[in-house]
Amino acid sequence: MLWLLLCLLPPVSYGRIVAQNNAHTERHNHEATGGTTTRPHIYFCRSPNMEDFTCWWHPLSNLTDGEEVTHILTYSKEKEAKLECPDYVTGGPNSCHFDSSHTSIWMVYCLTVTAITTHRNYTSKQHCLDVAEIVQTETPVNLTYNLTDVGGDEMGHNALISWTYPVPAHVQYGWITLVYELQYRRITEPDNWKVKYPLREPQVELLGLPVDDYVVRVRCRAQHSKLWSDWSATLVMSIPPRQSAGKLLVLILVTGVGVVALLVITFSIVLQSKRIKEYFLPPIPKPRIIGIDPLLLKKGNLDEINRHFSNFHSYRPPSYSEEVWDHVSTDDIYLTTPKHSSDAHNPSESERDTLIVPCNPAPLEVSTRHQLTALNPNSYMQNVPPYCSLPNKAFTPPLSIPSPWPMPEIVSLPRTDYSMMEHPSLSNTIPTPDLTFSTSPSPQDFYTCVQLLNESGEVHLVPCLPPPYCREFPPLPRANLDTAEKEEKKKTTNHQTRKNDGGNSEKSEAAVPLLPVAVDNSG
Amino acid sequence: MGMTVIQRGVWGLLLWPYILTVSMPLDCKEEPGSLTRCPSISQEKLLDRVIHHAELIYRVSEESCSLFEEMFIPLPLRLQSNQAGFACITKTLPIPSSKSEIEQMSDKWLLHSVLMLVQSWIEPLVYLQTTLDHYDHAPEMLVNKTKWVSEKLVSLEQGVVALIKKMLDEGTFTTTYNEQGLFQYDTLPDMLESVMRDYTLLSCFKKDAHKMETFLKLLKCRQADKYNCA
Repeated sequence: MLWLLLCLLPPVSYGRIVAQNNAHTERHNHEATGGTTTRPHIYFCRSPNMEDFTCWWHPLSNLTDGEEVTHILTYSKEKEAKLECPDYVTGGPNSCHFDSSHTSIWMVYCLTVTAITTHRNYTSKQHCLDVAEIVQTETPVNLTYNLTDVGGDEMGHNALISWTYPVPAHVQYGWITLVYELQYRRITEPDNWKVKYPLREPQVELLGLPVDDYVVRVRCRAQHSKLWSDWSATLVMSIPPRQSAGKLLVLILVTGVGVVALLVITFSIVLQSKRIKEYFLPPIPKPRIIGIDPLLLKKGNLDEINRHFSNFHSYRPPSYSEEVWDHVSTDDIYLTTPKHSSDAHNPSESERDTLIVPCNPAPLEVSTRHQLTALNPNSYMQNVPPYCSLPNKAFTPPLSIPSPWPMPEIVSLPRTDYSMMEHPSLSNTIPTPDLTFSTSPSPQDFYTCVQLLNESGEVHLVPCLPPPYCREFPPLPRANLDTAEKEEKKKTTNHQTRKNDGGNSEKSEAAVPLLPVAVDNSG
Repeated sequence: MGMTVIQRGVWGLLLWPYILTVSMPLDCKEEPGSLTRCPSISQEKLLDRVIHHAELIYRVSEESCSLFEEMFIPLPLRLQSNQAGFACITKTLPIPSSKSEIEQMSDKWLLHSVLMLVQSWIEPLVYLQTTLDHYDHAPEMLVNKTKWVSEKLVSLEQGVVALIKKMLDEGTFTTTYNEQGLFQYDTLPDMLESVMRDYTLLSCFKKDAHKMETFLKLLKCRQADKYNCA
């Protein structure tokens, strides 16, 4: 008896193992072929919200014609009694739907489908499930996109993509927490999907997308489940070429404002040109002499001009010769090169001329001599600033010209800036002080006026000052000359110069006086 | 009959296929179609789901209470957190409230306390739902929330029962504790009294929901680390 039992057991268990293996292979076959089996098969169960679920099965396909078959689904929750499917209709054909009152997340459901034919029953394999683990959420819908410009200089756009979950009741109160996944690719690259995962919000912003067309899709799943929902309907998103309207507008605005400003400035300059010109470039007064028409000076005939001017005191028309003027090389000398040189007239002419000579301290020793040689004692025209008066003594210090005059020398007085030009032969009476140089004379110091011109060739030089100051001249120590004689001559010159004073005062410092200005010398 | 060693060996040899099949329960093998190994949910998963329920119930009840307070209760009548304890219907239940007492509770007591609380609140919430319908302008959100909470409370009860079965290996509980005795219906109550009573109900429920959540989280903590839970 015991041995009988023992012998029976192994075959029985072996049979069970075989049966299991067969079932295993059968399932494989069934899934591979898809439906052509001798038994029904539950292939898919799904819960959208963890509150209800539906299961579908493949019906029996191995049917002979005219045979009727019904399917019954039975289930049990763990160790409880078997129950039949509460709802065969809601899920469609060959399905069973469990509503919320029949769904429990606390127990495992085991289901079987039985196909009942007239001949025999075919029972499917048992399918067990945990409701919380078969949660597959709904597919997101309403996939839309909004384009925004990328700030700055970058090309491309930002796209804000948003979608909605179709059944908000599933996710209210936090019953199910959703996680989204978004994929997008260029239309031209069919397999190159870019993934955005995980997303907690039903929207995402894609930054800096280049110009192109894109395909976008999204899916979701419950956080605790592994099952993804189906992919949503794909959205075709086209990024247009960058509208540079904003930049263009700014450019236009800036250029417009700049042009308007430029025009305003130009007009104001044009209208105020005279004033501006006067401000920056003060006008140089034209040479004007009372009684003489400036136009005459500009365009007039030289003969006419000479005729006019000969009315004036001690004017000689210039004669144009080719004498050479030496170039004044030292810095201290302010001498404008005379434009005209004058012939060496006969110094013995007895006309009394007022003479202005710009005199310098010793450095000009040599050149002044040269200059003076070319001087015409009787007529003299040179660019000089207004000076103190000059005694109207003929002055002939020729050097290179053969003349009876010996070579003059510059004699400078001690303790002063004066220097005298004198002839060496007559230097008996006149002391010859050392030549002194003034180190840094101002421009006014360069002009020393010839105070006195002796017949012996002596020239007395005094520093020149503008006319108001000329009365402050210290007198030169002159033993030979009679002061009274000096003053007499001065008075005659004063008389003539007063005539010109009126005109003189109108001239500016830079003017070119055509006539020497005689200023009272206090002597 | 005396068995020799050889005979035992022969027994073992003959019995090994049977042992194999028994050790592989038929319903519990891994099938490609299903996602579970065994026809029973694991304890950790059960506990997680129960805690998830309790958290949600507490949160929604808190929102409902504040909504109700804003809509129907004038400021001077509003209850502070420490005042309404004496008026709650569950005060008769032997459930500790102080922290030290709770820490000393065993796992079994924790679970049973939670079950008591849950079961004692199912009925009052159903009642609350009906009374809210009688209000003139109760906001729809409030009504929906209380409805949702009462549904989930039923589900929570099932979960706790399953958990007790799993953790404590106890038999099923089909009867509830004193569910009739705790709650009395008053016929045609005064309006203000009715409002105040509903308000008290909601506040008490909010507190008890928090208590449930705390118990369950403490339980979970103890599963992981027995001596380091507060």
